[in-house]
Amino acid sequence: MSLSVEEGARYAFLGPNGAGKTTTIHLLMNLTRPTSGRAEALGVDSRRLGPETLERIGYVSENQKMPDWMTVGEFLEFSGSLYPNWDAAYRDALLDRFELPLGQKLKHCSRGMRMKAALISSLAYRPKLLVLDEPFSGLDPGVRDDMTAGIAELAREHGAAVFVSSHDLAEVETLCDQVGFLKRGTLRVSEPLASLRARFRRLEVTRVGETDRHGGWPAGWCSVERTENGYSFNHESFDAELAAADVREQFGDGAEWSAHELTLREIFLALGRN
Amino acid sequence: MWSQIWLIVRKDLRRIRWVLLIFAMLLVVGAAVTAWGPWKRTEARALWDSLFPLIPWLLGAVATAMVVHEDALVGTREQWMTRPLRPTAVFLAKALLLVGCFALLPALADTALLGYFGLEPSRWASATVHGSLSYAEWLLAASAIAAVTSGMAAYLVAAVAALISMTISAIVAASLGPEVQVGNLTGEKCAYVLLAVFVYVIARQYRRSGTLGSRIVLAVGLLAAPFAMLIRLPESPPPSVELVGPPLEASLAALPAAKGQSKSQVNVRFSAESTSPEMALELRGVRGEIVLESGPRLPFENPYDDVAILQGQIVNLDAALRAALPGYAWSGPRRTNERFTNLFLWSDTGLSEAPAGTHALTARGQIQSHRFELSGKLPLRTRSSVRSNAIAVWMFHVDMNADEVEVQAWFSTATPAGASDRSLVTEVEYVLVNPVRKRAARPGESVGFDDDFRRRHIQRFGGLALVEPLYLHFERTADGAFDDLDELELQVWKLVPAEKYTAVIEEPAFVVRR
Repeated sequence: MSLSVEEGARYAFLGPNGAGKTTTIHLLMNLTRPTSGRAEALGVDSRRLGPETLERIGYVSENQKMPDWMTVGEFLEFSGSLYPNWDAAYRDALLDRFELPLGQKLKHCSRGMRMKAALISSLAYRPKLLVLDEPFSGLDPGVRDDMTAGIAELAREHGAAVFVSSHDLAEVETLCDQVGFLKRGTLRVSEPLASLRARFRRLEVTRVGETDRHGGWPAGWCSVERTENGYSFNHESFDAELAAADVREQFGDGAEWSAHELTLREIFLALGRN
Repeated sequence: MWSQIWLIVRKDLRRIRWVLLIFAMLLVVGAAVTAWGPWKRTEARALWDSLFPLIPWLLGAVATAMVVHEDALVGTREQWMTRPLRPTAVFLAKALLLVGCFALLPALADTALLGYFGLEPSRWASATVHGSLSYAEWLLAASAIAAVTSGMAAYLVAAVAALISMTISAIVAASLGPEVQVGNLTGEKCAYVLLAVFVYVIARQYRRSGTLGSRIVLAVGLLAAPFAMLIRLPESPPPSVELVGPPLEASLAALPAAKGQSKSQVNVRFSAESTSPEMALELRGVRGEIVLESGPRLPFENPYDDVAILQGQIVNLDAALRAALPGYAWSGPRRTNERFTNLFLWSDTGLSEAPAGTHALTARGQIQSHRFELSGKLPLRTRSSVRSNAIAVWMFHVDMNADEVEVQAWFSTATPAGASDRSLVTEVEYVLVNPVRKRAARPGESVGFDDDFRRRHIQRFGGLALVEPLYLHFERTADGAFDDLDELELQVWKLVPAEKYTAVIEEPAFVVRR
């Protein structure tokens, strides 16, 4: 896998369970040592990530261990003292937005509150890179919206790059402008979200002539299904003129077809099944 | 760096504040009971003495796990790994906190106790340092296990597993005793090997070089450590000694184990002929042969790990021994000027045992022959400028009846640092005082009793940390000195070189009032 995320980009790192997303993030954050290959964060080899670099990186993971015995306030105070760029006013603004009780112990906080606290502790010093591993998992829609807004604000107003691994496609769609799709350790797709959306279409073909199929389908067609009136399939590299030619070639001149845009979820499923 | 260390120390201190508070309270209670508690040797007191000292150690082990796991070194879920924290700072913060709270603090409590019992102020610092090191070794072991585990449950399981595997390994090593050459690596050096393993494991973990590797190193180290006793290093030639007098001979006789001692212990009375009080023997090793009832003969040869020269039973010595000065560490030949000394062989499954000795002494059978190698003799110094003061004295048993008073007490002493050859002969002078009379004690004088109650008791022993029991017997006199006696005061005076024993000592080394 070869992947690079530009400064200021908001990159959604997608893929089915077991694809290797978390492992990739662990390699990037030096939580796991690579057996081969290398990863860089902010231009620094991940194996040599030191305090100077980590001061500019925020990391939030659904599995991250929190000091449960601390209150939210103590946790943020401790986190704040680690970062020279810690902005107490920004932290307070985030606290207000997220409605977090400072005096409550983390062990008594809900999962959403804990994730919010973790996010504040990673936003308040305005990192240049924010790495998020399944940050929205198991959270209610309100919390997701709050968190998405906070992350988007950091990216928008401070130019931070965001690298987020998630299965929550609605939030990703709101937040990100680039998408990567990982399957079984291989990066299948890595491109701007708009481009991905533009090239993926669901095609419905009707009035097909008699076909005697022995060969394969044209390149870019996937998940081809027989329907009551004809065929239905996803097109991975949709172009209207080329698609029309392909349809005619496959189903005869009388075939009629229509193309529909896919949601990110549908694209995700299409990539996963293909 | 230092700001990060301070930050982590404050955080962890908050984390363990309740454990630390309980720990400190236990230290205070333990010291108070030792200093002012009931002194009569009762079953309750014996139970207290045997169990109570374990509690602070166990609390220390639990607190160690809490502190290390607070920023754990295992797994990928820890906050600190993705924060701008230097691993060195994290390590130093943990080390400072643990050593400060769970090594220095109890060592200070020990020193305070010993100071109360008469340890000279000039020796407080060294006693504290040595006490701290003793506690720190324990913390090191606990930290190594905590460093390769991520939670308290895993830590406890690993600790128990380590204990069991080491025990099994020690038994296996011991069982090899009669068949293989016994090593000459002292238990102390074996322990250093193990400590080095602990340090390496902790360093590996803070360098994040891979937990699996660290676990393997730790497991191998724990399993292999008992076998270090089989290592035989080249021995350096014995130091030259000035031989005086006729050749030495030793005659030995095995005595039955003292009442109350376990079967694995045996006292051997060792009588060295052709010596005079001015000579010191250097005991360089013991060789013996055990003949089992079933016939096999088990030769054994040990340097000093499983041989101790003691003259009496050991009572609770924790504080005194932990605070003992470097001379306490029996890493080399031991000298004794005793013409009659009890060689006290013991055996258990501890690491400090040499396998053959362990095997022999736990086997069913009788010791039929012994040969003790006496490498030479040293002339005593005619005048010694060093006085070994007792560092602790306890009265642990007093029996009074109509006609007599019996007092059992013990004291311990230690050679001043680096002076293992300087305090060869000492004496103990004590008086038993009836404080009801409230007369000031003066050196060499008993207060409140007739002269009959004053005894001069001379014990000579080597300069290393020894436990010296005093069995004192006082006969009641007709003047009613014991009437209304509700407390006794035992004053033990400075231990002095024997050639000065007739001199009057100016000040008491310590006073214990009960």
